[in-house]
Amino acid sequence: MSDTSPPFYFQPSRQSPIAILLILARLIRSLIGQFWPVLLLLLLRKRSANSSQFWVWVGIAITIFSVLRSLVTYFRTHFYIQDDEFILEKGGFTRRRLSVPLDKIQTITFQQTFLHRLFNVVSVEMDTTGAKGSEISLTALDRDKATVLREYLLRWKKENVNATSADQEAATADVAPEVELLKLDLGALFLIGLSQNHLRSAGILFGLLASFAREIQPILGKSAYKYFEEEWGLSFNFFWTFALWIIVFFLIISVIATLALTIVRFYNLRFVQTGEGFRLEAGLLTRREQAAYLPKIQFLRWSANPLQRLWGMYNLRFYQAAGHELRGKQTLQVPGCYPHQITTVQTAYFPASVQEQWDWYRPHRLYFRQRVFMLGLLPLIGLILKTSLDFSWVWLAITLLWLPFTAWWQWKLLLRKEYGLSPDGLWVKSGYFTQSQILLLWANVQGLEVQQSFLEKRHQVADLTFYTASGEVEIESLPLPMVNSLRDYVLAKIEVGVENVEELRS
Amino acid sequence: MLFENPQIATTDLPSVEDVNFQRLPPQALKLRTIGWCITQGIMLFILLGLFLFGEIFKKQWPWIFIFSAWFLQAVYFFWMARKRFYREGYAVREKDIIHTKGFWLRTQLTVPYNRVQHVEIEQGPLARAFGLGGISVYTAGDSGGDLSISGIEYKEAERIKQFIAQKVGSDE
Repeated sequence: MSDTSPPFYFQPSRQSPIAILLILARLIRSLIGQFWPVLLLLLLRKRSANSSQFWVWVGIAITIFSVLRSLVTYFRTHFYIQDDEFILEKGGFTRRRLSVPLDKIQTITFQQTFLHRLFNVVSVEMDTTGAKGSEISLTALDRDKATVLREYLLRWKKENVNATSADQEAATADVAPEVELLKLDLGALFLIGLSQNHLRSAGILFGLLASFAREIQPILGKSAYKYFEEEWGLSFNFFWTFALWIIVFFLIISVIATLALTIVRFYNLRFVQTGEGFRLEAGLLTRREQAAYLPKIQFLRWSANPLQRLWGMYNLRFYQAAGHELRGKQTLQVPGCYPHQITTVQTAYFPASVQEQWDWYRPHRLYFRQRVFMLGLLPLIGLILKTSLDFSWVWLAITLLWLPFTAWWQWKLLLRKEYGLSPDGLWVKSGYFTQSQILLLWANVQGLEVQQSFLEKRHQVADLTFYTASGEVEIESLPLPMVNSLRDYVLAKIEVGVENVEELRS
Repeated sequence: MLFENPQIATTDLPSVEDVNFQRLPPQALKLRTIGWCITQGIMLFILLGLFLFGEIFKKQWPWIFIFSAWFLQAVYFFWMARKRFYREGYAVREKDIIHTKGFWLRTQLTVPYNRVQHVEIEQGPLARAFGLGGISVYTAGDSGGDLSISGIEYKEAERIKQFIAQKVGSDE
């Protein structure tokens, strides 16, 4: 690489040498992730001189292999831009050459782990539309270079995409000043951490520990509980008899863990409105910079559980168009939003949603009946069997309360479920404990599916699913004629929309 | 509504409701029946193997239940395959393609051409013997919105692919 006039990205370039270190770190982490039971075994069992020498050699071999692999990966990875395509050559033993047309690049994400920040490098991820596995990711690139590259790509997109196709992107305004919408301080983070669903995380934690205990069973040669009892003199019977204590214990752990996780994940969160859309920066150890470009946002969802509603905080999510591999990463999440920030985002994504006339509809009662049947009656059969075969007062209480509780809950859900229709989009309100809202523009619909179950047919109702490039939105149990005409309308909207564009061009 | 979307080679029909769906050719049912025979045959083969050599139960009588369960599900799925076959259909329109299927749960998926990313034609070895094939229409991002019809005439699949490709091309 020379520093002559053509920028580095027009000729095959390597990543920053720091990449070697980072690839190595990733390799070691994944090795540990896969072989931790073996490592645990080595640490726990009684050592003999011979075998530990053997394991030292194995360790050395693995280390040499990892270092070699990182070096090969580093030296064989090149990237450059040629003929309006971004080209990434990679692969140690099997060569792979990925080429992605520049106009297919959807989003460019920078990410910095702790190691990245030490050396002032970033990892770059470019997400593309369509085909599987065509996502491009670079492990480490100097921050300056990465910024230059991103600027070039964005500039290219702006110049070329706007000129060739009068897509929605044409509507993107010129560079507008950045407006900071939200900045979370430690106090707000604390509230967000407290308001997470702790029962769920306690459940997950409990499940993880239980599965951990099972997984190390073959290594210890006996059950983990027995091991603790015999080797460490701890009796787990104490815990089992006082199940309540376990729940409290896990709840406390979960609160502490979620607080820590929230702070690590959203530390110093900045949510900014930019000319093209929004940007989110957050993270303590790994600082992520995610961008949501307005034309790529498929739909918005915001939700709040009772505690969050009390504090007037919402959890906002952007669902963005993304390739298959990066799907999860492309839903951008902003916790702790206040109503006016939601309104700002809402107006940017769907300007007409604020003034437009909305017609509100509720699902047919069949929605309630079907769910009570599935969630109430079917489990009840199991509960009755369990109680009659193996009687205990706790199970009897659960059995007796199950159906009334499910019916009450589902009834509340039915009452909360509302579908708003407007000329330009859909608004769904749902949820009783955690209440959420979804806003979808018809223009983002990729395909529509009408579904009608056997029962729904008898009641002349149907469901309608809207597929977008980032997941689906479903409306359920509405009168069939209405579903049909809504489908025809949305189809016309999508199909005529492009027709108009055609007219404009010719 | 000022919108027209005529079905190809038939009259002008603006609503999906009134579309005349193209049924699958009768050979497709034969193909599916063969597929059904193969899967059921494999199941029966495994069950017989277990019955003769497996020594799972000490007595013979539980096998009566297992084989009758196999028989019942085989009859059910044979019957369902036919039911489902007669309920399946597709329609190629000026601006979109529709695929309808299902017996207990009826679904009707519509994909507008201007949302199509690419189109693929498939043909397995068995289908080739019948001159049949399948067509898959892919949209961006999620797999949920992808449409795929299997068991149509291979030439028909090629025609549809050509038609959609031309439509997609003219939009850009």
